[in-house]
Amino acid sequence: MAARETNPNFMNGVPELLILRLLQQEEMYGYEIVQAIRNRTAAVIAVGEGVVYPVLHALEREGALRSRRKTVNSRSRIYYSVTPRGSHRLADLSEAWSNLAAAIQKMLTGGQHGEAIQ
Amino acid sequence: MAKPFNELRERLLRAGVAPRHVRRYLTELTDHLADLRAEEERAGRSRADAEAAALVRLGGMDDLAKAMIEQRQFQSWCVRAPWAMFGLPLSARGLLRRLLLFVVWLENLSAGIRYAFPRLNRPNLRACESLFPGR
Repeated sequence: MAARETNPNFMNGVPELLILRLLQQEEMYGYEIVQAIRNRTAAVIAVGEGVVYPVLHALEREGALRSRRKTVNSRSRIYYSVTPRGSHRLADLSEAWSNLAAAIQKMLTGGQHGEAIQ
Repeated sequence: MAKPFNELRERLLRAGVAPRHVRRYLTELTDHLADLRAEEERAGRSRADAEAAALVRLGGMDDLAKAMIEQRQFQSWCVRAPWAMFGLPLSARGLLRRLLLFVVWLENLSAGIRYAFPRLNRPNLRACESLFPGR
């Protein structure tokens, strides 16, 4: 199987955030989730598509997602949706990433270090 | 299951991922691969090219294996807590064995005492003598 270049380690936690955000709007199965991430991030965020499943399974195990098997067009799929715990998790992750992004943006645009880390 | 995943299954099982998690992962990967292949074929690729492109998009074997193995909660109890699967039963067996030996030792001790003090075999004798001194 050929290798695919993926984003480096600083992407840790991003797939979780994106998955929770997408699934909060509607239930989806793995392939749909990956295509939605690709489309909405203009393919800036590149992950090996299969890598999404361990993240989905882990979120389900933590109670942030629930899954159900559904047959569509004679194909059985596992659809995922967000639980109330997942919504809380999404809120926490969103806040953390917004703060981080704002701090990095401030650094890049020449803000003071003291301001950036607050 | 698609052939490309045989090696992945072996790697995951050898790394201690629980078989039911491996099964589910491979089922979803197989479905995902089929969707990708169909998408590539719709884009005009031949079946062989579509299959190759789909495999590349799905991710390298190392990435797919690593992503699952890093999730420690999917590992079987034999890997997560070997002491619970092997150590505890062994300790329980050892404890039972010692208990049995202790019971056997107690029985031997009791037999020895009865042999050394035969009157103890008739515990009510002294009481009878005190009640009926003339007999």
